[in-house]
Amino acid sequence: MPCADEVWRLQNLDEPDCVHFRKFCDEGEGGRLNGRDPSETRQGTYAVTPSGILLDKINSRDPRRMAAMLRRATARYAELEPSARLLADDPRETAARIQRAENRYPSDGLVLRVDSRDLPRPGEEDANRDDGDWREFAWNFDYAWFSRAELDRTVPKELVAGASFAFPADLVQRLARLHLVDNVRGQTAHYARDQVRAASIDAEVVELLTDASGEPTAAVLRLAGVVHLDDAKTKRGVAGGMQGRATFDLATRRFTAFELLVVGERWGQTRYNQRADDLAPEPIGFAVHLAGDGPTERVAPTAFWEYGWR
Amino acid sequence: MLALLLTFFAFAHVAHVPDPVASRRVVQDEPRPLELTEAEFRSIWERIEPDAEEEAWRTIPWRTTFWQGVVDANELDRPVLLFAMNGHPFGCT
Repeated sequence: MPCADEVWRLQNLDEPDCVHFRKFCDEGEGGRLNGRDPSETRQGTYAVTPSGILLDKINSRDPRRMAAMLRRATARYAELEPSARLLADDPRETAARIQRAENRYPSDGLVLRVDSRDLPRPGEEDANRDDGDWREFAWNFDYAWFSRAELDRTVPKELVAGASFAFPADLVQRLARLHLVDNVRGQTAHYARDQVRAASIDAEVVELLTDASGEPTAAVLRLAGVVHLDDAKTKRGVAGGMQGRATFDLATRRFTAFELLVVGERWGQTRYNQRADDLAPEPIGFAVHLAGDGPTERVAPTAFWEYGWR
Repeated sequence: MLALLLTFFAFAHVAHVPDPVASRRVVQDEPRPLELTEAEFRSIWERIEPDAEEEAWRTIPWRTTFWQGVVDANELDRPVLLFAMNGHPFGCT
């Protein structure tokens, strides 16, 4: 049964699923996956019975090693009696007690996916680049959530063609400092509020769509904006311009289309984003759009704790 | 063409200095909104967005939490395969 989860929470909190994880994560040959220090991350791939008996584990992306691990794990699973490998109590009852950010998924609000990728550098023949560098293929993504109340105050109730308005400054600031970050190669740090030098999105109603009776049903918006994040202490930042288009349904007061392109530059590094040899300003792009509603797109924003939702 | 275009929009407001440390780009003018044609917009957009091959992992019937994996595995009498990373593997990591 394939599943994925965030490991810091599993190895540190006292929620039932976290306690269950810690029963087995340090078991087995070799002990902890990533070193002797108890504070080390337990990130890796684990095969385990529902009851919490470790079958095997590995921290590798090598498909052959992974396949071998799965074969060993399934063989061990078959050797166990059902009474040993299964939970006696119904785990669905436990699920209702587990607190996690995904419980706050704003199904009636707005969920945006923010894709990030390096863009061609000055003088670079991007079509011919094939030197194995991770910048050729790396991309990343995160989810930006907006509650129903936040969405309600993003778009005015009365819209007329030609009208302009600004998205709420606090929400654009949050989008910028938590999501328009250089995470292309890996997890990175977000920006503090006082490191946001500029963050704005302006919308113009370019068209009101109408039904057969001429009643307005949706507003087509043109979006324009800027972002400028600057962490002077660590000498990193992101700066660029935005352009986009969105369609806002007037009846449901929800976006039915949303595309916001951000093109600019990033500079500097953070602990894990692999930019130690790439400190100078270079092009980066973000594509911000509606997320799908499939299970893999309901994951909480990486820095959800910064949202301050209560 | 794309590289040229991006160079223009990304660097129009700043001066490039080769030394990476001394040159942490000090934006001399504040960034400004993009002014792309539809074709230019779409070209950059498609470059950033992942293609079908890059999104193929979503076709696996993943459970997005460890406990949902336990719930379903317990019901079907199957082992759990848990992929656990710093940062949710299906989000930003």
